[in-house]
Amino acid sequence: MKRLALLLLMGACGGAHDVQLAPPKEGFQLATDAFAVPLGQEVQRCYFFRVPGSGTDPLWVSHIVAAVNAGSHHMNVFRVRSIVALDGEDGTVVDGGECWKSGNWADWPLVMNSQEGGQIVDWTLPDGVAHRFTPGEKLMLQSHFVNAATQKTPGRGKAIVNFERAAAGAATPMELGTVFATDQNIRICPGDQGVAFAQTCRFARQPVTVLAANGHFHSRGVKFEMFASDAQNQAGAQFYVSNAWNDPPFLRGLAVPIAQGGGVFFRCTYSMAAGACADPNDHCCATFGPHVETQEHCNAFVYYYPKLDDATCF
Amino acid sequence: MLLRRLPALLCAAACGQARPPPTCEFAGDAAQPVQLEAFALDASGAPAVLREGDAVLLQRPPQGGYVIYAGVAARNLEPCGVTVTAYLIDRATGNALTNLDQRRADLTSQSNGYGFPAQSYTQTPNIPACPDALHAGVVGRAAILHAELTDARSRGATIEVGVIASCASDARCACLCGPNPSQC
Repeated sequence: MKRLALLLLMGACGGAHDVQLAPPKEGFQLATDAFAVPLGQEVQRCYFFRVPGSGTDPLWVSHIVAAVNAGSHHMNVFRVRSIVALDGEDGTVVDGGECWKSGNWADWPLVMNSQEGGQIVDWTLPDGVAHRFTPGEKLMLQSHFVNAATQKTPGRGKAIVNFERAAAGAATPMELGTVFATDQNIRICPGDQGVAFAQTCRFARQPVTVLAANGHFHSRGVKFEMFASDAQNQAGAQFYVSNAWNDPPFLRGLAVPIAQGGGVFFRCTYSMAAGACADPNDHCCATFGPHVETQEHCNAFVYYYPKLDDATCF
Repeated sequence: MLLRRLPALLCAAACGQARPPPTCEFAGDAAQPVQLEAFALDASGAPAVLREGDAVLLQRPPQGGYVIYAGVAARNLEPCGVTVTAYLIDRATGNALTNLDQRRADLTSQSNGYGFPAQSYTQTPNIPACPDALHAGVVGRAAILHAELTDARSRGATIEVGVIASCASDARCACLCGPNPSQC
């Protein structure tokens, strides 16, 4: 941790307040450039990368470090699958446009996410568990910064993620699996208090263990909860709660058992002041969408092992 | 009373386009139990009351996958701020066939004595159905729509009706909602 703090130099080099992170000794790093986030705007950029290396032997990663500048709303990394209208080769950056349209990455499996702008996420997976990558596979890092009424970006936008290779061992690791779940029809209006939307996301064809999770919504969100759920969609023990929309905890070190046929039950609760206004063209209400100022989300990010399928719940 | 209504009045003035508050008088006979009718939204967003064996349409929401918009209309209840929960059950196993959706609704749109949601898509459960990570295969499978409602007085009811999820002519839906969604 001390070593990491030394590596994370804020303002010592490069632009003011830009995070820096030395690449891992073994593994690979994804890094964006530093970009302006003008006052009153939201900037979303999609960066394309290839996992380095050649051949077919998998690259197993057991240590992930994400460093993102203050003002970040989210940073998500996906594996690129079906191409709709968003694509690029290694080094391509798509600024806005198609990078805003979530239908472009509907079947792109989640790799890693961070909502901790100005902080670092330093995540070592449990012994025997690792993220699997294939040399040459395409990844997309999506960075969203806000410098408007709901969030401020004091400097520039920048994001870096290190994927450090797992130590070679005798046994093949258990693969880390990810789940992305989103509720796509939500509506919160001025005067609403404690309005909740909940869903389940069943993904456990076999019993699995959830080891990390975080929830994502915008400024009308007041509580994000996750529970284990069973094969009858019934919620069990709660394992996640967040009351801070702009600084949700990324819980790691969990060990939540999920029974066969089950998954997670997630619930987003919202309130909106009577005099507030999200979308002036829709009765000042906030509906599903990526723009923090005018829209809302209810997204669950869940990490588990051993991996079954790439799971998305819509 | 004026103080209670003040925030709404202020918003109506300040926001200009703020929605009017729903009418929330008790709907029906308080001496009678809550009665439900199950419905699903068609491709145009119009509700259609479900009878045993009816098809329910798998529809594509904004980001991806397919959902079923299905819930309940009701009478003999407080129509505003009800909580509706819905999902499909596999007739063959008794386990859930789809994920569950739970949301608040104002059942203030009257039709044939029943209150339907004031807003069709955002107040009708969006039952997440596909892709199905459990590989059961949702489309064409005999299922039960299970729906529950609780109103502000904690009066509630449950309804179940046999349904079959349909993709209509959407080939992508047929694959993604089948038993091998990872092969689509």
